Amino acid sequence: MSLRCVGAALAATVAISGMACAGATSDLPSSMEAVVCVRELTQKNYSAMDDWLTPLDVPQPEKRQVLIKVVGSSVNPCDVDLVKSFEAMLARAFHKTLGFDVSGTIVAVGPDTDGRLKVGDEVWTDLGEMGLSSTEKIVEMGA
Amino acid sequence: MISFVSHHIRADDVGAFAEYAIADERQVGLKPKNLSWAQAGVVPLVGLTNLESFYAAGAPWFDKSNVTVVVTSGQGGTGHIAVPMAKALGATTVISTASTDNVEWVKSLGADVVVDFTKETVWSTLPDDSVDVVYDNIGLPGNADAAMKALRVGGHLVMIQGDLSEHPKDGVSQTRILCKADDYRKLDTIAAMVDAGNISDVRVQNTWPLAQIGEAYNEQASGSVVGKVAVSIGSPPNATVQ
Repeated sequence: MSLRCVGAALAATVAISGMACAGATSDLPSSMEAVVCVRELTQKNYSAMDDWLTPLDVPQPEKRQVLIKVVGSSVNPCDVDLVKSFEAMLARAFHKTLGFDVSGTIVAVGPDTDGRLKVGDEVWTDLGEMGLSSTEKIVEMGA
Repeated sequence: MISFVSHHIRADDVGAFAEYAIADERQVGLKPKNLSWAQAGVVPLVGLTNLESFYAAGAPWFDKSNVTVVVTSGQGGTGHIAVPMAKALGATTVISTASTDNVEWVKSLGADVVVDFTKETVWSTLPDDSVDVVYDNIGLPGNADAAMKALRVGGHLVMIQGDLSEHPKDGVSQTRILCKADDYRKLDTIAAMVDAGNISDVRVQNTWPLAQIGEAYNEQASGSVVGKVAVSIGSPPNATVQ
């Protein structure tokens, strides 16, 4: 299921720089700090992750996307699973930026958005995968 | 045994542990004003996981009378949000668990009965065929089979981790949830519960800066988090230095 990480990499490596946004605050920096998965952690000590802070280009929102200046986030059990599991191999291979939870403000809006969200809005979100079937009904009604 | 990460990895661009993050507009909701930035940053994933789990268990339950919901752990990240959420979705009785020090707190979140899990299991307190929904958010070995005994016909077991029962009871459904993050309206539903005061006590156990993300992971991995472990990344807008 999470082989979709492959897609992450492709999109992440296609850095679109200098592209005009439909709406953006003027003073966005060009680079930022991000926690990028660089290797699998097999021991139950994650302190090494402090060294995973990596400078990255600030991404540009594409079609139907928004760019959020992140204020708060959290570590979830699945975040921990991700760096110690088989999936870490994929995440590392594609330099996946970690983390799902976000509170923050919208600083840029990409093309073709529906107008609901605007620059300056205070928002929250879970950056998990869009549009996948989430419920696995393994056994239903005692079948 | 292969263990699966219980959340789908996003298929494009960047994640949350960064100064700026890309999101699909369809997955972004307006933050409830009653939550701090730190609180709002710890709710979405666990809140959506809870909401989808309760939906899978037939929520909202307003059209039914006397619905009893068990939340197997009441004091962790999912649990302390799930207890008041179950009530907000129409549960008549919510039964949960906590460690000795947290029993009264979990009651204050809205649980009618809180079992001290250091003294006994929740299962030992439940008569057979006595509950409508078990939301197993901790997935300890044996939980699914024990839940089957406690559930009545027409009931639902929903798990977010651990193994489903190999011996399900006739007439009882069991479901494993993988949280999806595709619809801001679910976040709006949670925000409405916050605005209405149904979810008011979002507990942040500790907050770590991005440069100490490893310590945040260590704390989460300790397995004994009460509430959530937060990560502080940027300054809030219009923040004034005191």
